[in-house]
Amino acid sequence: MAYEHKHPKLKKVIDNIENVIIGKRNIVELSLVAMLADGHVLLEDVPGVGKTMMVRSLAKSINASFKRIQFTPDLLPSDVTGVSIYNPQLQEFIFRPGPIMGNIILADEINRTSPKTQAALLEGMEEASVTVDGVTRQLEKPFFVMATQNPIEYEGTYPLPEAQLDRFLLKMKIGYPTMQEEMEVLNLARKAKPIEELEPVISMEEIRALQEEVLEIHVEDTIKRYLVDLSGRTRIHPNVNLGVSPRGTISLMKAAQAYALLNGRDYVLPDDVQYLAPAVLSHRIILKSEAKYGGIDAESIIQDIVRKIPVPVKRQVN
Amino acid sequence: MQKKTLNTSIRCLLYFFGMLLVWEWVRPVGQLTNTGNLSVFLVFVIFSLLLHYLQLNWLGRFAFLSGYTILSLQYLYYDVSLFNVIWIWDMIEEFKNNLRSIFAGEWLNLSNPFRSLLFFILIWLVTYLIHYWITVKKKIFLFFLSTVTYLSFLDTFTIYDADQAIIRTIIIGFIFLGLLAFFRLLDREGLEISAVNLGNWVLPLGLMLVLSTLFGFAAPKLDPQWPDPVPFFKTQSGKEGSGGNGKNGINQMGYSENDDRLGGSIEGNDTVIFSHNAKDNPYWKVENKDIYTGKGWKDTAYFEMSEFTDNQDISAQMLPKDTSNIKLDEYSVDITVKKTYNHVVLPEPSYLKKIDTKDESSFRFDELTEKLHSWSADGVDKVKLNQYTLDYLVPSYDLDSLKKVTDEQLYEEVPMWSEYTQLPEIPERVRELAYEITAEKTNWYDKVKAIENYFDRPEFVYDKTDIPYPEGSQDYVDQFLFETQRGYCDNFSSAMIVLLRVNGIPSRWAKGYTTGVTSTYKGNQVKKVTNNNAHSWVEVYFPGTGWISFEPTKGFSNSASFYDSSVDSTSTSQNDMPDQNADELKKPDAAEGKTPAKNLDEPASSGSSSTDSNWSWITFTIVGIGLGLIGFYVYKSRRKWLPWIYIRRYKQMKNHAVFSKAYLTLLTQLQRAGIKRPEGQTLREYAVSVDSRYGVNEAHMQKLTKEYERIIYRGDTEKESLKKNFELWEKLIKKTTT
Repeated sequence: MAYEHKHPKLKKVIDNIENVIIGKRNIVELSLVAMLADGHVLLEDVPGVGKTMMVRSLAKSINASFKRIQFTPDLLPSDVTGVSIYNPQLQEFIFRPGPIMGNIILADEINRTSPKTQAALLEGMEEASVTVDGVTRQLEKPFFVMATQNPIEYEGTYPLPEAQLDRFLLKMKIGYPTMQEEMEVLNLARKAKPIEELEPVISMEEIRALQEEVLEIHVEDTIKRYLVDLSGRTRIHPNVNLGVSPRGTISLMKAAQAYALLNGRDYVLPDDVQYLAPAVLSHRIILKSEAKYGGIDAESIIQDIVRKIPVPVKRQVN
Repeated sequence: MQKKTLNTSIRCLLYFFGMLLVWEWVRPVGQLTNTGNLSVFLVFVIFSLLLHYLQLNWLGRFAFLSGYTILSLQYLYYDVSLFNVIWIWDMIEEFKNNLRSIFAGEWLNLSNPFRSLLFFILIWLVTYLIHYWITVKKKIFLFFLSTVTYLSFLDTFTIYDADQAIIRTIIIGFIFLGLLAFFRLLDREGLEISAVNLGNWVLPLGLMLVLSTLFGFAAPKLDPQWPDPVPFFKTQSGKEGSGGNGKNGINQMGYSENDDRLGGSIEGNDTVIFSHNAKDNPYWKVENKDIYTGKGWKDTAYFEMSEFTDNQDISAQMLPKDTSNIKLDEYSVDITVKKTYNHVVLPEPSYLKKIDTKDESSFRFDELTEKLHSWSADGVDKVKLNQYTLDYLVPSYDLDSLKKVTDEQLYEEVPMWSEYTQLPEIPERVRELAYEITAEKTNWYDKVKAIENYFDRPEFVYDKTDIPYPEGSQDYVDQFLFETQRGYCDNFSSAMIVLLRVNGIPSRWAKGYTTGVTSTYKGNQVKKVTNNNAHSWVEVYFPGTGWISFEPTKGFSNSASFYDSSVDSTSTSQNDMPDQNADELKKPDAAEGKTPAKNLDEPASSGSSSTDSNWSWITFTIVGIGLGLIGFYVYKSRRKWLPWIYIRRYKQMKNHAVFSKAYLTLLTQLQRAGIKRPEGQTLREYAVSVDSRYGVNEAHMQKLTKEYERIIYRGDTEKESLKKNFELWEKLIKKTTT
């Protein structure tokens, strides 16, 4: 976008990650947006397109603790949250934190595990705390979950219920690289693993400070009105059974604020909203079955709505 | 090369069709409004379209067409040689006067040269529009449709017979539409014109046109299924004329000797009769008539002639014996006659002193009708004078002595008293009315004024259209007084005389012209008297004073003046109208000074006059359509000129509110320039598309948009950048005009 300069610190992060991930700049940016807005990301894509690599490089760039949970059907909630183990020497239960107790968590193939285990993770995502054996433990900030799910396999999966999908700020697809990009990936793969060489470029304190800053980003009334219009329109759209909830509207605003910050601006533009709307809203609406079988997907409905709603170009709110 | 010739010839053909359509508009003007010399305008149309076709730049076009216009006006209206520059000053002076009239809203005072100028401008604009429609829009439907509407309108409501014109227009119009559609298709598909595709298009087009025209000719046609709208409307509105005897035609205005049968509607005729330079705005009298027949006026067969010669002082003969209660002022007037009769018009009220024709002439004056005929010096042949000078005495009458005249005064003092109080059988109600009006008046003068003022009542309406003839044995005056109460000078003057005569006051009917319309001729202000100025009024005989004219017709004023010796013998003369501002009162004269005296023996001819449009509704319609087209064009081309207004308006970019307005104006203007912004598009995206059109490298629109975003999405109010913003804004909005 013309005359825009990325936030210098975040630009460093992005550049850092781009040493490892070729192309996919938008996915990197969106992931950062989710983290800055204190939200989480659901990646829906086939294996092998670089989901894990991206999360790891993000974690390395900010010097955060990175945990990975590979969800399997037999995984138990305590495998996620941690468990208290009796220590005979000390004669007491000692809590062994589970993988959720990190800063950046990759929850791989989240739809493969039982709903109970899913719930353990999702509770943590929502509350930013975990309760084990009656003790509630706060999770350290930044706490950022990047869950993935495989859209191809349906056998033996437990699709996330809609209510829980709502917990993810963004849902996105990485997609295959272009030919050019893939060739570059090949070049890179011949060398030593570049991810090992990544240096942290930003501290966790700085990330926390930026998260605070996001809340201060100015959202003019016209923009709020625009957000509300957008959500409202999803609720009356003929192909939509259940529209975006107010929580969805809030999420869109937060994401837009974070995106504005990322772009070095202290106010939100309709452009931010438009850019983020598909990623923020498409997993929050439930299509009518006719539409679904008619080959219409949620993303195109959101894009359609965005195209049609008048952008506010005047100061006053009517 | 071949393509080029093809393109050129087809374009030439289109302009030719354009000319034919414009010509269909101008053609009826000639027939309906006495516009002569239409060929001058046709040449103008041809030139104007030719210059567009040749793509001469606007300056060249302007120079050429203005030159043509000025020379045409000179040729049509100014009798002096082209190299005698005096006509230029005349023209400028005249146009100045006319502009003044326009601003004063006095449309009827516009002179013919100026009307012609306006007509030229109108044609000019129309040809420009044709050019625009052919070359830029490649659409002509609107003009075609309005041409057809115009012609059918004229055919229905006027005497213009548009049968042929409609057929011509339809054929021309369809070829025109078809060819333009062809050009539009070529444009859209990005094709080159070629003999093949032209043939493919023109052949079926021509074939279809020929077939449908032939079919149209051959097809059986129904008689009109709807009633003719004109009489139909009239019956619906209850305005049907009552002339059941078939004599319900419309008369042309002007002078004629036959007044046997008055009534009926009249329409304008602005043939110029003569022009004069009289300072006192007199009426012009031709003759009197004394016998009222119940249908019109005749004069006594008996006559008494007095003869005199050129330059002979005849004031003693003309003045009454006793002039002690008349004040006299001497005036002189030069009269140039355009339409010659062998009678001489005389200023009214006045006493003639002498006539100078610069020639040997003799004159015979009919003492009864007061008609003055010119004869050759030997008195053998009647001659028609082209130019003469009159010296005359303008009277001012003493009110005091006039008011002493009562019924008790001797009837024998009035010569031919019985002739001048003659009446046919008239209905009783007319007599009752006459007595009623004068019941409380004792002297003649007051009675006359009472009757004259009676016609100022609101129920009387001055109107020249839809005036019926009296039916069967109905009396002309009775019909006017009690039934229609609408009419023109003949109705008013005849009615007044009948009412006077019922009261026993001797009176007679005078006919002639009102004072005329001012125009400039060879640097001098002259008044032109046309048939439209034909008029009739009333003369009343006062024993001891003589004949005095009165004016009963609504909206007209008579210039006879009075003074009251009992009040102040030296006081200035007083106009007999309640309103003393004679000038102001003269205006309605000029506008309405029209009489129905039927011009049966003199068919209207436009003579050398040109756009003598009488501002009838046809002219108004044409002007209206013209203005509409101009307005339409100005509106359509607002993209070109609005930015300059905006730049002026927003020059002082004082604060952010102004900047916001300016930015939004720019958005609208950009949309007008064809860069559409879908509602769902953000300003940034739009700015990118704008810059991609007006210069990517500079990215003015993106810079400007960023500033605007700060205002509306951030609530920013920094003032620093405003000046720079205005510069960006100005650059952008200027670009939109290209």
